[in-house]
Amino acid sequence: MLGLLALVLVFVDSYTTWLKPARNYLEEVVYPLHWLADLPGRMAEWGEESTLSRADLTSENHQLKAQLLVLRASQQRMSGLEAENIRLRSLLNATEMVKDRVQVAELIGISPDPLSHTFTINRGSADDVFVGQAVLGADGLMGQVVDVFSGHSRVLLITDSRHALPVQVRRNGLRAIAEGIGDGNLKLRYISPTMDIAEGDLLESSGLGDRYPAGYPVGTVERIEHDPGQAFVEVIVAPSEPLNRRRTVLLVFPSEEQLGSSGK
Amino acid sequence: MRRRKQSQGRGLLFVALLTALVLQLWPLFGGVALWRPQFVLLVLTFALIYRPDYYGIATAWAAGLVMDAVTGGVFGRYALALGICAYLLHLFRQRLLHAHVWHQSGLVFLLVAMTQLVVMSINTSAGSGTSWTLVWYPAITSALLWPLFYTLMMRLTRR
Repeated sequence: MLGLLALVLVFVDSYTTWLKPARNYLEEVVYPLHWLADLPGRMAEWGEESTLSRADLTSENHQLKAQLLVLRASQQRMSGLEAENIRLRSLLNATEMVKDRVQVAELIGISPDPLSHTFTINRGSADDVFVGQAVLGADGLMGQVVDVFSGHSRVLLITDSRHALPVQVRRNGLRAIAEGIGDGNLKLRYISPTMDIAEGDLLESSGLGDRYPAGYPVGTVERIEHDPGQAFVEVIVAPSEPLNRRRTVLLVFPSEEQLGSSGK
Repeated sequence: MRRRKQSQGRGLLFVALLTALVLQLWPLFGGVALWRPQFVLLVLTFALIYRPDYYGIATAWAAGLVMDAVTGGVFGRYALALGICAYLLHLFRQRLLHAHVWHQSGLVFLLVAMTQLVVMSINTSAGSGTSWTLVWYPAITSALLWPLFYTLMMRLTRR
């Protein structure tokens, strides 16, 4: 009897969205479990932080200051380049690149199913998180928000086998689709052997598809395999962001103009 | 007196079930996550063999539903899988009650493998990629964990 009910649930949830409210409710109820499972990790982190010696902190502080100086120097050059870019773009009558607003979120749980690459972050609809929002790490794109609850949300990583995103090669602007293959890497679809792509090429999001902001690094081409019997070559891409250890992530809020132009 | 003792056993198993859920959610990275035992199924197996007066198919089904909610896939897959396991355990309870621990461990292996199969086939039908060899890893670890878990739970409930 209950088995039948479970089967019905499976079918209803696979093919309709009727169960969405019930699911949301249940997810809210079981949220403390995530919190509990994450507690030891946070305790360890806290313990590590509070037992650091003064000398360590000072040296880290110095290091960070030096790093900040370097970053500020490169930022100065960047702002010059940015202004130049805007001028050139206005000459070309192209739309202006706008700066994206970001918000910091913390990773509080990863999917217990090793085959589904998702994780939970501690921001939800109360922080204006929305479905489809891009999530960044310090080194590149991580994924997008797929489920939003009041205080937390679930992020689908770009390496998940249900995920694909439009990318371009930074060197020459060659466009492709990168899809997750489930083992922590991505694969480019429909690359013919004559296309100009090489191992070590950096791929960035192309912004097509209106989902991800353009220009963020996605990964580097790790391996290209060409089987002469196949029409397309197999291109394996390693994500630039280490997708399975970062604890702090960034949520991107597109600016108003972008929202208006994409008709959302 | 006896009644109080029984309700203690019931509370203990409930705590064990919650702990199992937390362990199931414990953030593990990379390859280790593939070997994570099915803690919830271990607790349910114990509860259904040794405390069938409190824990039945409905409990397993509800625990499965909670698993579905925390893992965030298609709803009802764990409920279905754990429900089937509970039904099988219910059927063979008399035989399992007096079986050797390693014999039970073999059964745990089969139950976990079956749970994985059910869950993974539903995942696949929902469009997620699968590698079928992954059926075995949690089954192996769960089966190896069972004797330890059994001894621990026996100590705790017999007190």
